[in-house]
Amino acid sequence: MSAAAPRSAALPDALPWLADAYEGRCFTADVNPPGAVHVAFVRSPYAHAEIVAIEAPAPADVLGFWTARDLPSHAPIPCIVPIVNRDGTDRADPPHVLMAASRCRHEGEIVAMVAARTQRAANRAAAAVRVTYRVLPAVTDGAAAVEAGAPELWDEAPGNVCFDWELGDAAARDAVLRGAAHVVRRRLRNNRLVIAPLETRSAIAAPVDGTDGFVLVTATQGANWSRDIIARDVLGWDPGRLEVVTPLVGGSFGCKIFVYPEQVLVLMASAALNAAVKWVSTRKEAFLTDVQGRDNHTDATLALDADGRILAITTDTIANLGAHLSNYGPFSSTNCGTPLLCGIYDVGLVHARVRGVFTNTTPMDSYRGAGRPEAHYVLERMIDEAAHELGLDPLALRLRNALDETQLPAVTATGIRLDSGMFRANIRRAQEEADYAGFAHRRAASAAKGLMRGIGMANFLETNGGFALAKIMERHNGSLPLETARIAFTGQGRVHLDIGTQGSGQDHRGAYADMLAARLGMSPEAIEVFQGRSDRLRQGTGTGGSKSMLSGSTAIIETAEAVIARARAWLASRTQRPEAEVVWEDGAFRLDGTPVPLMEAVRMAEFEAADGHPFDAQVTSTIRSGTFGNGCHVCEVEVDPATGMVRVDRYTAVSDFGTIIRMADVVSQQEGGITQGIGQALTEYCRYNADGTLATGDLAAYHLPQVSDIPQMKLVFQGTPCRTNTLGLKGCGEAGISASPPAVMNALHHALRGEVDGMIQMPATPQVVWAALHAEGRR
Amino acid sequence: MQATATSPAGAGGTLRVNGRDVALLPDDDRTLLEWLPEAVGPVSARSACDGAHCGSCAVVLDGTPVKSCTVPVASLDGAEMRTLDAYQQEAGALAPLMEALAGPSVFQCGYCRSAFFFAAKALLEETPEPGRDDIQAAFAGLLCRCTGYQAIVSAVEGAARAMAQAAHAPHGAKPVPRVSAHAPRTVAAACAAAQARPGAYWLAGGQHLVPLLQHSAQAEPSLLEIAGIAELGRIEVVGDRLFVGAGCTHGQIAASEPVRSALPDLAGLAGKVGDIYVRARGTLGGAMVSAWRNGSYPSFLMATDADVLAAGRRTFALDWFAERAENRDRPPAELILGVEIPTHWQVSHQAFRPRPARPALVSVTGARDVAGDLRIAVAGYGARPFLVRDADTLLAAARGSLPDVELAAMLDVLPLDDGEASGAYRLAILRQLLQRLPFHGA
Repeated sequence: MSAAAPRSAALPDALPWLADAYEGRCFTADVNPPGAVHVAFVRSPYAHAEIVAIEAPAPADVLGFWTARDLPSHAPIPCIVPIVNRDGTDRADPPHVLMAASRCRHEGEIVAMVAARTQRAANRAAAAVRVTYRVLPAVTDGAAAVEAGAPELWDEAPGNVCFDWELGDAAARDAVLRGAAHVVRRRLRNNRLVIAPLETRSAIAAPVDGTDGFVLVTATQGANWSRDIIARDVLGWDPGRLEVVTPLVGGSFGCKIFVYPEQVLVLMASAALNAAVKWVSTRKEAFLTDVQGRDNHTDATLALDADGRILAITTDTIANLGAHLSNYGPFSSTNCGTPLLCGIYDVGLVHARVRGVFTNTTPMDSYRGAGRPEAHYVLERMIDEAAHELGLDPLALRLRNALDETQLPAVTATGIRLDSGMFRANIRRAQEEADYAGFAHRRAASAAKGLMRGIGMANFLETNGGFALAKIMERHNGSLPLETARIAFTGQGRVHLDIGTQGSGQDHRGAYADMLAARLGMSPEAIEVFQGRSDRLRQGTGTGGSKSMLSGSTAIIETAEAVIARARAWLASRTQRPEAEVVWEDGAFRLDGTPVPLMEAVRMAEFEAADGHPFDAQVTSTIRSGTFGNGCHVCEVEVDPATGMVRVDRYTAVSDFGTIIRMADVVSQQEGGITQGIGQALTEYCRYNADGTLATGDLAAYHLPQVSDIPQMKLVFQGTPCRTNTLGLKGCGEAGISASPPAVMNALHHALRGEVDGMIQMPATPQVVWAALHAEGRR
Repeated sequence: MQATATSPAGAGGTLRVNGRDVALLPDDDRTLLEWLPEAVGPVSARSACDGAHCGSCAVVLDGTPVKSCTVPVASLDGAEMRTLDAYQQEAGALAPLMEALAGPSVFQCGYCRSAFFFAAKALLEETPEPGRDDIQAAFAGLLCRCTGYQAIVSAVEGAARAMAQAAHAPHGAKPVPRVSAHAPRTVAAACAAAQARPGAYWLAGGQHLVPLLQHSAQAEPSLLEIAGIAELGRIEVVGDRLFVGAGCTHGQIAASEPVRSALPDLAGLAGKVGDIYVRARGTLGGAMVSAWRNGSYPSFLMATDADVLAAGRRTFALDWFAERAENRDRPPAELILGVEIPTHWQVSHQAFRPRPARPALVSVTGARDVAGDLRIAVAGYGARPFLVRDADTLLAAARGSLPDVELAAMLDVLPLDDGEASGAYRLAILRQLLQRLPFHGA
């Protein structure tokens, strides 16, 4: 429990241009090292091609030029998620290389890097590099990739299959399906999404004078984790040679967790040129190379008994992994998402088979929710389809199958231990808040205008805490999730809190300051929170999986306790009494009934240590239990049958996030998540040309939700505090997007019931809806 | 804001940035967005979309809200601009707006903040007491990826109430866009400049400059600034014709009294072009060149039998757009002066715009004269805009039960069938739009 001074405390002194980044006051692109060299990348314009020849630019035109052959020794970017196939073998592990040496497997893959004095000059030099390609046939759709005769990407993955994984017992599944009164089968598409935070990725690398070390300024969701992957795993360095600094991050939603080739390549360029090197992604590069999300084809089966009780849900999924394995690539479609296929319901059996397949597309990885939204989409859509097929009311079917509070704590068919929740109460509350009773009236009013109205519901259950990731990595380190905090008293009543999580727009720092202030009995204004600094903490797991309030608070509370223990010991020794007589109560110590605020003790002890303050503490905490945020969403849509336009008219969400620390932040996370889910359901459409290049490669063609797509939402919070963490909180950051796609699509199907044959897949763009309404033989 | 020391006027002149004069370099070919951080240090106008869509790079330039990615810095000698940072220092009358937008979790990462601040500022100057719908309309097309937008709308709503209560200084006359000292002031001078620089792009206002300037493999194409030519900004009625200069912004056309009384649907369509920034800076001429296939103006100008006036010639709009389609990959060599539209029509313009602030998928204009003769033009349906051959018959057919295949056959033009929309869908939309035209069949 040492509180050693930061390892590279001198970093900002050595590199004054780092000051704003170091304090988290600017975005990465705002950082401008004097004399920095700029790099640009030559990228494959083809989805699949062999590189025949690369013509280097004239040396006079560039400061440096690198192809794959020119790079120093390194390892590929690792995929850290092991998958064991159904037959007991390990998944394929083709290398995620920094640059293509002989074959490009997706549009935008790096072929070469050029360095120049300005970004303009680098861009122009890169655009002028002549590369001769032999174009190969490409495949972009996951289902097409496993068909016989499909173009193959990797020798290591015959038939493009990276893994063939299952969860649950296939024999038991077959027995349940044979005996079920009703078996409902559907094929569902979870569309590919471009994550598209408004701040594009960027990286700045610079040597630290007088050392063999480097600093890398770059957006991450955890500087320590990124540092270890880049330095230790890819470059083979002692991780201490590299410090990663993450300033403000302009949105991430998962995509900036992962290590990308450009971050390593700017470091290599910096080392080769012994200069600071900067790269900022264009939007086009972002569309082609930021990891993308979702992209599953799922054949789903719901088995029910004669009373409408769900006996089993089974799925057979093809998950598109893209051309390379990103760090967590196989994770979303397997261990992270599938255990939630039973949602909040009492489902006897879950069986899932997932084939992860390679295609000539941008690598896929965790987008907000990482598999949980995909699982909920399948489950919640299947419940509506089953209700329709069996002639039941979808809401009643949900109530019939939802776990009752009296059944908690419970262990689901997939092994999730649920501590708390009020699932049926959520459904009833949502029914009331969304005014189901008034729906018929609103539908009639819409019909009078020639519009069709539908209402749809979806429940969600979150599993937050980083356990799924920690569990599948047991083979590597056998650990539970960790997080680290460091509290330092820096004089004048100021406190520095360092934390290993990383915000990307959500205001973690404010919440942490509130939390710590309450623990230490002081004002939050006196606390400055630092994140994104590998040099200031020995460990940091980072943000992901809606766990920061849980893991961050655990580390902060344990560190605060260490501080109080030190202060108590110091006070006891100073006042020559047993520690038991120094009582910590209501945010202050009590000595014979006299209150001594912590900050007064801090002042008293201020000059007692040569280095730092004697109460400073750093603690790495183990996160022992996860949280299960849950809730029920209701969406109402209006459809114009003449144009196929779908408008979300009303949206209600009842959520159980346990104890809420900052309401405004939770509301914003909810609204943002629901909005991204509405985008997935209605507007965000990733299309490819026949040659495998991306047809929707900019924000003119790929439609993010706009203000008019989003209604004013009714957000209701009713919760049971989580029983397994001190504050009683539950994760909320990804929850909105877990329920909104199925809520919207259930509402849409309800609106169109009887007017369309078959199902509408996401995104339900106007044309898709219009085509369904005007299919041959209709209208 | 870290501004560099104030420099004396250099050969490129000076630009006043957040209250400080900053020297411009001669022949600087950077966009304002690219120049700002390099010249004055980080500012809150941020690069995000590279396509002039999102608004994150917004600033106010001589009183006009603009996306700084559409402005070449070389054109700004003598101009005055402010970024959001200036208002964070000193918001003046806008303090309630600043305060409301800084509320807890109104934004999350805040990267897009400038887009919404300057759009709200422009809205409140025009409409001091906006309704929620007005605010939504002012934000159309702008992008935030973190929030659900509605908290931003609510913040502006609250600020507007607070500001309306405070004695609100009346808004002055519309600012006139400033142009560089060396920019041509006459058509003749512009044409002479163009002859000297073949292949140059006319630069009127709101072009997408980032792909052209920053990401191009070529040495920068030269730009010919034409915003200083007074004639191009003229709107006037001459007899039974309305002249609209090519340099008029969509916002000017939408607000123009002569346009509103002579051709209200032209004002209406101009008011729906692009987003609030595009309307403040984008021009008629620019839209004719860049949105010749599916923009709203082509069908309007073709149906109303307008003339396109270019330096040295007068062309029917019909022929001008056909030529433009032929030369789609080249910047226009000639300088468009404006359009002259007969005003004796009763006109109706109908457009289907699936995404607000983005181009319409299909648009239709019908124009009928006192004799009852009807002309209908269509854009966005086929590979190029066209005038319908027999408008009355088509209108009757669209309203009747004629099957789609036969309706399509009447058009002589094949519908585009691309990733954006199928031919069948375009036809269905066209039929809808035709049905909305308020004309009775012959």
